[in-house]
Amino acid sequence: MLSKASDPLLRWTRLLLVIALIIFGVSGVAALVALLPLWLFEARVLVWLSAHSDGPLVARDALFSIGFTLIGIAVINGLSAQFLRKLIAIIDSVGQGSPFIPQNVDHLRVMGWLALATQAMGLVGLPLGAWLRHALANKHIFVPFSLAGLVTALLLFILARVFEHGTRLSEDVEGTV
Amino acid sequence: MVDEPSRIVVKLDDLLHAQRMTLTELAERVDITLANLSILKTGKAKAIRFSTLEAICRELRCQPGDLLGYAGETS
Repeated sequence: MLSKASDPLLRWTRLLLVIALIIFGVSGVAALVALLPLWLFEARVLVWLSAHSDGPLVARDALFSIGFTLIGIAVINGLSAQFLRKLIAIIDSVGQGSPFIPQNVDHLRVMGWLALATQAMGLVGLPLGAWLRHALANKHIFVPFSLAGLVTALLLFILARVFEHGTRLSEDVEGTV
Repeated sequence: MVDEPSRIVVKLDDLLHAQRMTLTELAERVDITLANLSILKTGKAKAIRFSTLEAICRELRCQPGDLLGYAGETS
């Protein structure tokens, strides 16, 4: 059997997750930074939006929608980054040879709630994206809808129960002489 | 979750005293670590394997009932 510390699957998965964590962090911050020019050059952005939409009223709504979308991206990236941090902590515990610990039960539960929150944010973004697509007549604005987040959340809650049971069994084995 | 203290009493100390044997000596004879026997002796063990029970009974020439007792009310 492979030594857990040198298990390539764990090592590479951890590396990929750390890279993804950095990407989520950077793009989340970038989304927040992108709000700044919207606010600083509001008039110029409104002129541009007016030229590319049905008029100044629609342009103002579009500006707010873009702002909300950027905030939404930052929030979703923050949730995703938290999700990945929990997953990395679980992978580390597997590497140390003790995955059935109460902390991992908590990690999985929190991950389930994070997946649900991300799914909920996606549902909020769906009508917003559809409206922007229509208002700006821009076919590149696409908000994908998927129930994968909901299924992932349910799976994580079930997995948390499995780990809770595994933790109890592990404690029993440790207390057996 | 806080576990309630077990009502099972382990009388290993009494048996060792009766046989004039140390815990270290018993650990060597039954091939169980001193740490594990110490857990058993102090009543911190959650379970005991039949193989452990058998080895202890063999070395201390006793019955399982001599090693374990129940401290709760009996109806």
